[in-house]
Amino acid sequence: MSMKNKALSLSVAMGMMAGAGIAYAAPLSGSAAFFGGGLSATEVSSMSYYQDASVGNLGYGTFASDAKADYDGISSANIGYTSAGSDPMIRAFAGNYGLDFAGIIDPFKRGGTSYVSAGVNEGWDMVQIRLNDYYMDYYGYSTANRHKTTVHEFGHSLGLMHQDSATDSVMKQGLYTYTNPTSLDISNLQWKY
Amino acid sequence: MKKYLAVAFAATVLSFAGVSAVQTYTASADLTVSSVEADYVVFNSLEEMEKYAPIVVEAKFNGKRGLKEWKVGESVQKASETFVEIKKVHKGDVKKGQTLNVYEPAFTGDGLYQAIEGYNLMDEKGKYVLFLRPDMNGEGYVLVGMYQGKHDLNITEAATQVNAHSFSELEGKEYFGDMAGQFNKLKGEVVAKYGK
Repeated sequence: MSMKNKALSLSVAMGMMAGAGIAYAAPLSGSAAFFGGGLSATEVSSMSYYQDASVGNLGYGTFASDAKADYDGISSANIGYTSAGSDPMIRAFAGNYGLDFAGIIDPFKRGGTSYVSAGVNEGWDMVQIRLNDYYMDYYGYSTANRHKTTVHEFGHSLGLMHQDSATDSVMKQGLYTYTNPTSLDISNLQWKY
Repeated sequence: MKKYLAVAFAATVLSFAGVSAVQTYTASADLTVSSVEADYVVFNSLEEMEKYAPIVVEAKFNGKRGLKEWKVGESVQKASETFVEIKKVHKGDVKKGQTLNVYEPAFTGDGLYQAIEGYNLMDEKGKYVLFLRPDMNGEGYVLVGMYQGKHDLNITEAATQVNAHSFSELEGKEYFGDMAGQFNKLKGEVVAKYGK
């Protein structure tokens, strides 16, 4: 088959897939809403928290405080934050992280005397929350969008996975204006903790 | 098993003054896969993605890849710095034959193949349409939308989500995350416009 015809065939196949539409998934609940790994329930009940100066300096301080209060305040879920101490479990940063994302978490596990990267299906001992300020500027994120990203990333640090775009959840990826976890997110956290 | 997966992890460090160190490496097949989730703009159409990509090229990986880091305090974002040769320019102030350093959202370290949102690294078999923007410091190029900004014209099978444990399970897959439907729709539009 010539290159031109190969390209045409590929184009037709892809076009068929596009025409078929995108199948939406049902809301995730219970264990399906969480990574296979994460912090333990004991750890989540009392998470020492460190906030780098960059978070406040770049305007995310209020969003981070709101996120902690939102999750800490969920009834029937043992989620709590404490002062940083010498080895904080949750560490938040904001700045330019180069790649094309608004926010991300980076989980770690203890490896000897230091921390090493942990997979999402392993036990975690420390989590970094990183807010990519330059990206959010580039894509024109509003205040509410940035607030949502902050609450979203704190949700990931508690082990919550993404929800489908058709669900009502702060754990959807994308430009949304949720500023609090929704009832779906809350019920999942109540189930877990 | 394809040769590029069977090559054990080996690093040959080449240092260039004023440039991040370049290592040539391929990922070992037995690396454990870890794909983290991020928050990012999900493009519902090619037209939407193109608005954020001042550069659109067709390119091939030239075999050289290094590690790039961005640091804020103690936090570090790592990426692969992958060198590609431009074969066609669709948009932007770049030239055919030029080599670009592209930051890919995946790298190896601590025994893991660490990816963001199901991204698989470019390989030398691929023929890629890349949607790029210069990074903040003008030192390299960022894939717009991460997995959304890279499309291999040599892969005709639709992407599917793969809950891979080992890197060997990702052979031949350009994307393995949970947005396969959205990726395939986007790719269909990319191929229709740029695949000729």
